[in-house]
Amino acid sequence: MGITPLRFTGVSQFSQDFQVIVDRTVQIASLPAQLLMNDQQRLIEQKTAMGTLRSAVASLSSSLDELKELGASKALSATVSSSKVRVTLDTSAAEPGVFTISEISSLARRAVMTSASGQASETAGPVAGAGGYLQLVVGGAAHAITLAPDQDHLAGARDAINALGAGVTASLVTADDGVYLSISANQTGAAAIELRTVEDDPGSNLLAVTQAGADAVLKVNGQTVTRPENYIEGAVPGAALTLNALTEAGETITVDLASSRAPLANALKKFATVYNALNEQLGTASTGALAGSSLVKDLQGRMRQIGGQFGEGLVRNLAEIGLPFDQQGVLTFDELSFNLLSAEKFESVFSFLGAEQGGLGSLAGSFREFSDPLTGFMVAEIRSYDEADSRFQTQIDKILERVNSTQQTLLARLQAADVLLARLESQQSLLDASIESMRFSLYGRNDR
Amino acid sequence: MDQAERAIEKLEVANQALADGRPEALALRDEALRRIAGLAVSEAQLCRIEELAAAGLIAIERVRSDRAAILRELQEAEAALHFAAALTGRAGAAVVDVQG
Repeated sequence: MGITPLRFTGVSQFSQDFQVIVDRTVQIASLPAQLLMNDQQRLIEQKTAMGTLRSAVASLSSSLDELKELGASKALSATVSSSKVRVTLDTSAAEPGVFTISEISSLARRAVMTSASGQASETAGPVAGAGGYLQLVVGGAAHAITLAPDQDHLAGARDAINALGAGVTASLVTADDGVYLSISANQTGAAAIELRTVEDDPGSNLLAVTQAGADAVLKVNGQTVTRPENYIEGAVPGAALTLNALTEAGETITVDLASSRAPLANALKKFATVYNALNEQLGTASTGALAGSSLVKDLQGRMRQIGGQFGEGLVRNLAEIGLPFDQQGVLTFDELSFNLLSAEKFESVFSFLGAEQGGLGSLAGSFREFSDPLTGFMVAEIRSYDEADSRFQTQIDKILERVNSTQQTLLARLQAADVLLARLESQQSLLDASIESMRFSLYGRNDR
Repeated sequence: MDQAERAIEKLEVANQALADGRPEALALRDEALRRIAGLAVSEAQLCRIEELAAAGLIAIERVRSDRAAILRELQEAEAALHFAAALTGRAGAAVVDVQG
């Protein structure tokens, strides 16, 4: 809400004075509102600065998490010699090693069965045995079905099978010569499906094989592995294999799990970037909108912890892994130095970064305390800014409302007074002129 | 009663109404003054009209006095708004508390 300027429209000789007075009154009345607006503006700047800072802290926390994870997993990555196998690493469980995949003799697939003979229509029957009896067998598990006389047809059998929840789905296929019942397994695997009209009598099976179900079969390091699906866990520690195709005779696929410098180098480079960005923002914040903020001081303290990070192995500080500070406290990633680290020192980098206690990455949590979008200190601070801003706005609105009301009331009264004065002054002029004329008529002159 | 006498009496009534704080009497006064203008009056009637003119000047002064009272109210409004300015300091302190 703003102050609406008003113009005084009086006609007396005092109207100009009145306008000056009204303007002055409004100007003075606006002062507290202006002061509040200034405070509000300062709050908005603080909130914006805190939001920007939170984002930078979150980036650093995320980067430290990444370093911790790479350290814990020893930056393992998988190299696979063929696209017939895809590897998904669980870096928390994987170990370095070489694995050979051979003789992928079968890929897992779903079983599909179709009734050997068709019916004239969906509701033609009967399809069940005596008393409406059917027995569905899925991978050796038998399920008894009894169809009511009015449901003893293909559609009735389909609905009854689907209602069982036996891991298969029944549907009807309409061909040129009739309607057929088709049953598909919901999962891949070698489990067979039968639909018998006589209990435990394979000879009464109504279904013919359209596609036999199959397990995935392969050899890992020469040992046979059989699984009902093509996503194979547990055969290689910490690595899930996805089979895409069969191998040729004599073909061997190599899965090489080894520590790689490239992802670590990328992560360290990113870490240097986000560290410097936060450091710079803290410097700006401490002299700007967030000057004096205890949160900024705390964060600066935690940044110093990073600089003072000390390792107990072959790698003792950041500079030794190619992350030296310059004289201005700017962190630079020297990729060449990192790549020239000896194999022993490279191994030690992992504990320097990923150790649960004292590793560089373990500092991520101390930054997340600030940046967490739900429970972080900085979000709480931003909320308090919002609340203060809301209080300010309420005060400003009240003051401005009163200023406008005061202005309107005073203006109305001043205008009324001015109109009255103007009329009286005009009448007085007329009366004075009349008296002057009368004196002239009575005395021949305008004074006595 | 001649025309001048009636006009003078009308002016007296209008003056009294204004003195009683009834600004709507301005129209009546306008009419009386228009009638008086150009009339031939006796010396005694002129004296009465001059007295009424003096009363008119008093009425003008009274309105000016009322206006001055309005101006004093303006000053009081200013003082009230200065008090509102003190609220700003309290709102600002709340922010400092949060940061602390």
